[in-house]
Amino acid sequence: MTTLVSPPATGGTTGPRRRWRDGGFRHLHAGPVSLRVDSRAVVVSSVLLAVVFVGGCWSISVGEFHIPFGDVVREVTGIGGTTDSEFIVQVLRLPRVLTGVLVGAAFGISGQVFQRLSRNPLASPDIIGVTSGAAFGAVLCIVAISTVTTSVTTGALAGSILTVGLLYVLAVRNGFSSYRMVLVGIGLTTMLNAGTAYLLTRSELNDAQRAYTWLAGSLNGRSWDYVRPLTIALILLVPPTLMISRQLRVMEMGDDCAAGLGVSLTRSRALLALLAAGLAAVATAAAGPVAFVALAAPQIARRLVGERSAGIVPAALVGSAMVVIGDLVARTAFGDTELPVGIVTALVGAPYLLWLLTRANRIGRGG
Amino acid sequence: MTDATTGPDIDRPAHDVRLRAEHVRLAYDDRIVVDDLSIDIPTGALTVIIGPNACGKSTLLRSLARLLTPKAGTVLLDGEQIRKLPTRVVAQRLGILPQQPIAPDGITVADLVGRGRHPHQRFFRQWSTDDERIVTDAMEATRTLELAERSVDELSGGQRQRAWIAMALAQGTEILLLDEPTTFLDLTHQVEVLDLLTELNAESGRTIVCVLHDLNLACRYAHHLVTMKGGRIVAEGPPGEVITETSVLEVFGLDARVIDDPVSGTPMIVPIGRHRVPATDPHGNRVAAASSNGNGFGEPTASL
Amino acid sequence: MVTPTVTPPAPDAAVTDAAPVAARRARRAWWRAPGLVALLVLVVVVAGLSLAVGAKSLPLGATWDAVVSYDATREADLIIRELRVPRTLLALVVGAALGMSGAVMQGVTRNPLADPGLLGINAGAALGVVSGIYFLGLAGIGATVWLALAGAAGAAVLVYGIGSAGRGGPTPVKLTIAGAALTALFLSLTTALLLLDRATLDQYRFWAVGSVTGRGLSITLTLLPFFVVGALLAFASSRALDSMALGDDVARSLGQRVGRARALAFLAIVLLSGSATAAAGPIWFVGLIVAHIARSLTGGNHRWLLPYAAVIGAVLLTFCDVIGRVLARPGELEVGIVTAFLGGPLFIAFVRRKRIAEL
Repeated sequence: MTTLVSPPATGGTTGPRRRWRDGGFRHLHAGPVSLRVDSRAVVVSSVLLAVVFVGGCWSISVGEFHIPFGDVVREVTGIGGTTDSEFIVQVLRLPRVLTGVLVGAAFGISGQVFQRLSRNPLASPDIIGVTSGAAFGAVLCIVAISTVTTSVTTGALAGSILTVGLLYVLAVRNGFSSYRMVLVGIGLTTMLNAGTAYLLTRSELNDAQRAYTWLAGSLNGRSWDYVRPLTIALILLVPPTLMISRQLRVMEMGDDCAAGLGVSLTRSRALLALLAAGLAAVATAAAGPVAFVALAAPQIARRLVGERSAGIVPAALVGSAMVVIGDLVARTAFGDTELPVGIVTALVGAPYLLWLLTRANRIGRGG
Repeated sequence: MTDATTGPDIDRPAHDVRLRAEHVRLAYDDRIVVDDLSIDIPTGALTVIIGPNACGKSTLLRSLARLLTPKAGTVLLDGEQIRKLPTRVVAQRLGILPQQPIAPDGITVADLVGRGRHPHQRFFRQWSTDDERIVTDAMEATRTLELAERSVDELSGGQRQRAWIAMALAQGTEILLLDEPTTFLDLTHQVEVLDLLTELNAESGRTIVCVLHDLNLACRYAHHLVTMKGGRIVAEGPPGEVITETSVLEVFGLDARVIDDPVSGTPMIVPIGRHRVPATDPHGNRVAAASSNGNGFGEPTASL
Repeated sequence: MVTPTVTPPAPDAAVTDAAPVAARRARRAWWRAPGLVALLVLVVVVAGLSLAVGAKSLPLGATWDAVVSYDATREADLIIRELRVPRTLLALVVGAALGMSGAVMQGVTRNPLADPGLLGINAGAALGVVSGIYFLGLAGIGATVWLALAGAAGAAVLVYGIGSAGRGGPTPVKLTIAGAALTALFLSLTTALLLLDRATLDQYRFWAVGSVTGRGLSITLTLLPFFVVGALLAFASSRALDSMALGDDVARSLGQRVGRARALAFLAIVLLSGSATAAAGPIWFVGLIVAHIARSLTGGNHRWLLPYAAVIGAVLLTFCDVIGRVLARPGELEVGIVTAFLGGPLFIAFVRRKRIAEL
């Protein structure tokens, strides 16, 4: 039986007042399990979930064949039986939207973890070269093995994994230093970017064009073949991230405090970085570098939810919302031309971020 | 049972000592700060470490707290090498309040104190009834219960420090180390914090070790005083034995008179500088100046 | 879209080593002037190398003949005169400009990782180039160079403006954040235009690599005034940069007008780095690596640091260009590629070797 236990707001008990309100948090107990839940985060996450669902269904309903919204909901939830549009929804459009949701969530979580770990609002999986490694791998596949499309995904994944491995080997010297990791990451990233640019000049124009399209980040043609492995990867990576992110709360009080409270700093940091890198790697392999999401989604989540808890779930949902809505806009807002989703998220996200920065600067927080 | 003024019987046999360092060498990169130092921390007492700047007192404390690995020698907790114990286990027996801890923006006192329970919590055991009770107890003991819902940023220096001590207290450890807990506080709050530490030691027999800057407060509150200079321990023991005019001169390079504190009877160091002091002979006896104007101060000599 | 790399905010004490400062300073002082002379000699050597070596091997004597007694009918002379002299000159100038702007950038932001690309300069130049090709149908470097410069300058101004908004003025952290966000925005706009038109993409992808070939002497000469003014501004800022290295507050108490000094230094960076990128496309790492090497030789005194950075930059870039010609015979590797693959490992080795203070 779950009982909701939160201390009453004011005293009124006899004897000395021993109650206090754990502001904004709810305590849940069920047997030996107890949870401390940020109520604001729960509310915001629920709203975001609704936004993602509505946005996703809307995205499914628009296109060459317009499908009524109600039909879409029926198809997606399975309630109310099937409709005529079953094929279009289930085979063509739903997997695309689902890919968008998963990719957005993965980028959002990855960015949030990196930003909290490094206490730097600019941190992003880019820094450790994950997206550049993926880009190099993908472009190499496109240029060298120009026909097969799933090889691009494999190439991207291989590229990012090798890059992270190389980064780890190079950055570890007398123990793990996240600052050194960032520096080595910048070095690797720049080299990889140069390599990618080089490949683009040595390829045929057709291949170069395909490569640039991939590099812009796109959900075009994403089928269930993408959704399945992506789901598995997220199932493997997200729960450990949630569990270890609990330590972030203590790590932000400073290294000494954290160590004094029993947090193994090196191990926690390395594990979290690895998980976040893994999430960014699979997301990039699936949809290309829609990496601006990793930068902006945590920032937006922070402004919605605050920083009282690790904020993993809100960041994930903001990321999903960004990608799904971005894809919707990319497909519809420009008439017949379909832009890659990565461009829309950057075109809309960057000015928003800049606006947030000027606001923060004026208020004095400076990002 | 310990007495707040005289402390526990420190002459107990050595196996009662829970925290000790043996022949440790402590260094930052290649710069050796402490070499071949050994110390036994008396259990159940309030130990204070003092010394001039850069003598290694904070460094020593950090090594005792497992924040700094010795380049040589070992630190032992309950007879085991502290380095080999899992971090979580150490955190359940020994708590440290470092210098200048960072309070995240906008958190409440209750939230801060609650984080002290981290070593006892798990992913599925985030807030048990025990946690609630212990946190409340900790806040009561530090008189921060009435501040529980306020933001840490808006507290005064003394209140904030009490909140941090409550956090360390909530950790539920029997040994508590504090690195300069009073350094940025005004006098009132310094006394407030030290009184609190005394109560924590007296009521539960907690072993407390802190690094202090103020010599006189150190003498007043310490059961066991350790003086350090240049990375070595110069003397340790009850303040009455350790603090003399010669020892003050040796450790701090300071000319001083040592008298009995009129309030507490502990040693009180009265510094002698170059100005604002009457003429004295080497024995500290005031010498009557050739043309005294009656208020005890000689007139300045013409050759100045 | 690949978001550009992000420089973390500067640590307060960036790189330390064990030797005491005074001894280091004493060791350096006496050989700074002769060291500079030696480097200048190196410049001449490398320039000569650049004239003599190439994808097509020519005997050394031919080089000498081409320089001393030019004869338009000899093929070797033509190659050297028309192809290698312009590229050598451009490499020297661009290398010097990048080196200097890197050093100034690090001084202004107090960040050992600062690179002019972070102020949005490379992204702005790219957008300018692509806009020129897409909207105006321009073709070839000569035509797009002005737009590149305009784009670079525009981006830098925007970054500076946004970074200055609010309390505190243009602090390093705010500038970096604004730079990263703007770079992302510009790169996405660039990609959008590229995807809309194949021909644009075809032209742009060659510019994006960074090269000193295919640009005639005229480019170097037209941009020379910008280089010169930028260099002068940089030198003029030497003293200001020295005091700003101690922190804004200390600098102010020393009588330095920090806001004005920073704006002037910023202008120098834009002129030097903007024209370098406009002429040669984006070239990575040179500013960063050169500034570090120069700093380890001369220390933080900008009166020496800037000339050293200029000369080392010139040497480095020209040398990389030569290597690019030799490695991929009979073809060539663009200098941008070589600097990335040479500079990258150097940078990583440097990062691993030095003890870098934690953030």
